[in-house]
Amino acid sequence: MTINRFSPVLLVLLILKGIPLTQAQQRDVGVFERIRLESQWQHGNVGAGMTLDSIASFRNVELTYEHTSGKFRSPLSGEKEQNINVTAQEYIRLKELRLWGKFSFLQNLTDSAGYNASISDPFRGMPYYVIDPYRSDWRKQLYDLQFCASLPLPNRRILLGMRGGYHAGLAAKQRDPRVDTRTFTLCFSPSLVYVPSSRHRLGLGIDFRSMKEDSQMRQESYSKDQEYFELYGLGHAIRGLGGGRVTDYKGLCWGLQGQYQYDHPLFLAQGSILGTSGVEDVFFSFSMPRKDASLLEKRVESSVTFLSKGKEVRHRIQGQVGWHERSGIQYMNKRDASESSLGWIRVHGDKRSVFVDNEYSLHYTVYRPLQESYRWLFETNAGYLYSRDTYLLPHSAQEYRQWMAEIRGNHVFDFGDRRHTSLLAQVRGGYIKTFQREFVYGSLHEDYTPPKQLETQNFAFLTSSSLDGECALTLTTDVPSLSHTRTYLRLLYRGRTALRSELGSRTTWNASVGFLF
Amino acid sequence: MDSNYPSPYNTLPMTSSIRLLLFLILPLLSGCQSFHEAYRAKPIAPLRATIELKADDPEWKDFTDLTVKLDNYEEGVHLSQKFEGKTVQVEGVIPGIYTISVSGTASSTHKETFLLKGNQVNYPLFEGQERVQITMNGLKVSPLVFKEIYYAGSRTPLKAIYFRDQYYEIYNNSGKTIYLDGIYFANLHPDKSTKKVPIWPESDAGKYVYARRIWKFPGAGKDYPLASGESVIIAQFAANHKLPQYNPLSPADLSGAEFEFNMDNPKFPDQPAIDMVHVFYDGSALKGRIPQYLTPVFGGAFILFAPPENEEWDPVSDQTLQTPDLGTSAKTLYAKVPIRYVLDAVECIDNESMAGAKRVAPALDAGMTWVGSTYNGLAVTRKPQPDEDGNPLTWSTGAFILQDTNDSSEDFERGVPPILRRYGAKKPSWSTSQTN
Repeated sequence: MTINRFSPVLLVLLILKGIPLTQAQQRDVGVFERIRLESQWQHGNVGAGMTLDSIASFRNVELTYEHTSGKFRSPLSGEKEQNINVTAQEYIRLKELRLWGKFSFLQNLTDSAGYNASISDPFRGMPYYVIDPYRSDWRKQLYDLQFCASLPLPNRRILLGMRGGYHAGLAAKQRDPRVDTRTFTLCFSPSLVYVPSSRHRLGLGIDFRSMKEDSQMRQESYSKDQEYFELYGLGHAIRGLGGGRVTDYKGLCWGLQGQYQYDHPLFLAQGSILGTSGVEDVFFSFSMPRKDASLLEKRVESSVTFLSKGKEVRHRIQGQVGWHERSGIQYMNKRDASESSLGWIRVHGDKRSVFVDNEYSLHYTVYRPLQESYRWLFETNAGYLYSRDTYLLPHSAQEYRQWMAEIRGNHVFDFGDRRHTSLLAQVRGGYIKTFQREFVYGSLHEDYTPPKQLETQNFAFLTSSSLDGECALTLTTDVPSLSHTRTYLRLLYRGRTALRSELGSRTTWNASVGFLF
Repeated sequence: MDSNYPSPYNTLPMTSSIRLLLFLILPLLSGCQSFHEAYRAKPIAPLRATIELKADDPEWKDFTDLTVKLDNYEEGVHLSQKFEGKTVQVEGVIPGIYTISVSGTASSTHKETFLLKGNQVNYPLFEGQERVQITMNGLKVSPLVFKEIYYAGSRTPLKAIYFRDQYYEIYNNSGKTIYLDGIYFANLHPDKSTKKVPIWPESDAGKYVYARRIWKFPGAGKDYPLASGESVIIAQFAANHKLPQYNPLSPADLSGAEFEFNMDNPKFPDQPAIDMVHVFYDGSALKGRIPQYLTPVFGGAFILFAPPENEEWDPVSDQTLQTPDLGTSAKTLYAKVPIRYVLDAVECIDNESMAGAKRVAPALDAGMTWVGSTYNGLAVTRKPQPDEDGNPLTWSTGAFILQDTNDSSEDFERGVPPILRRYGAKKPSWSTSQTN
């Protein structure tokens, strides 16, 4: 399969040549915050309702550079990471049709990441991958394309919509055993919204996602056979020597989504639910595939939102519940050496591991709307997480409970000059507290040190109580030579520190420059 | 059981629209089966495995010291249980792919001792398949054994590879003198451990092992006696490999080896050691194009064997004793060696990750041994047989009795620096070696 590599520059030019906006705006990046808070359909699951959101047309192009370093990290993360990201998005109204699209290209340079020796993203929840004991650099390129379209039928009681996306990634490990991995994900969600009256809106949709990742390991230098470990969850592993293995991941996920909105002159109330079930299979080798394992995933997410429609001040309260269970199934395969059907016969499969994550959160936001953005905003969030991972036989387990709290405040300062310059100042502080943890390591291979170290270090990181803070300044101003165009520069600093000083801290510097049309 | 060879990687030319359609539809079709398999899987639970023995040879009486072992090498599960009778149940077995081995002894009415071995390799045990039948094979206890095998080679001071220092130590493990004359030495096919085992003629019905190259000790019948506790060294190249022109880091000085595999290589000229007689390679008695006898540094499988006195065995002249590997298109011919001729067999593999790739009949060697990697200058060596107090058993002459349960997983120490004539083994009286 080949990847069509988009030229970010070409895409930017295409967008700049696009349909002109219908009105001049003196907007700032706060407009995206308003969309997140108020556009329940565009930001939710049922894309067909995007027509019901009050979003003015916009275009945005942004170039970001981000640098992260520090000791307080997962052992799978790099000591230092740099990202260069180009993003372009546009929302347009074409008579009754509403269209939104976004393209993003990310170049990632990760230095000295530990363990992971096979997949592009070891944090995506796949327990079956390969590790080695060595630190290595990774180079990644990620392409992300998303769109959403909404169109009401002539009777205006039914709205049809489609949300979709295509993501492709390339990743390469820079040290033996070398890894070249390619990821493709295609997702689309057709939906419809029924509007029986001016107050009630009911949306239903189907979610479909197909993904594939193929990971090829090889040895460049044959002077020394490299050791690696094929992981099966919670430190259970099989050791190998040499050039590693070729792994093929194939996943399919189906889901149903529902969304209900009550539109009162004074407020909006909404509830939504999304249920998905997916299976991702792990095959060893392409020439003679052997199905090693599967990950069966079930997820239910629901939320309830209340948004007041005051002219001076608006309040928004949202409660979210998420239940996520993954089951790891491992297969027994026997080799069939007969001439008629040479290959592997899958004789049996057992559920060997279960991973459960339950999340509950509450968010309260109060802000003063101003045109499409806001003058000031204050938000507080609280959350609770319960996580339990279990390997059934031989028994291993990791369990912990955390609560988190966060407050943030934003303010937009207008300089009152001819170029409508404004400064958005953002401050955020958060706290994560772990108040229960259990770790049982039951692998029978006591001499397999790297898997045990990985599990121990990763658990220590995940269950560390920590403080984090962030501040950002975004300066926005008109571009003199281009009408309806504003440019902005954002500088951001984020820091996180563990309460146990020996775990250290981690900081991120981020600089972005962008255009708003 | 079902077979599944997903093969969407079709190489026929396609239009881009058909390709897109397949990209959308194929995941749906294979995804339905994936969902069905995943939802059908139940949480794993321990089993009670039942092992039944099939041991029908009328010569075998008095079965004693039976032990069943269940080894899942990949997951590190190892269970062992002693039993009596022909059936045993083992509790608490984690479902998986196991190598199930049963060993014990039987004696015949003629007071001969048979080592009984039976083995099922890569047998899946899971709910619904908890019973397994093991066919037992017996082997008379052999007086002649492999005592030490050094095959991995070594590294030079410049980190280059060096493999000329391979050697094999053959030991008289009995209390009587035996004669080496005409005893055969062979390395088996496949050379290296592999899960892609060869396909042999069905008519062979498991009666043979298949040799890649065969040598034999020279002599007219009584030229090379080996007394109890004595051993001989057979070297690939019988020189002192520690010399500067070879490899100063080699652990082996083989200048005193009694025998040598001489391949007429002018770069490695014939040494004073006695040449082994070349018997068979690729269907003929000729040594082949490449003038070196290099057995795999990853670990080969080796046998010592001797046909009974009243039997003719000539794999060069008798083409019914030759066969290619029917699982490949290669035409290389291998010699059929009847299992009942074999005196001793040792299977060496790369490392424990290949423990599921058994290629030697379990009746000959129920296990396998290894040194862990290549060119590390390490060897495998047979352990002394301990008595009840853990002290080495010896003959009245003081010669050690080495452990020989026909299971090289148990019988050998792995990854040890090679030492010629370890445990005080002696040189034969006719040896001209000036070194140990």
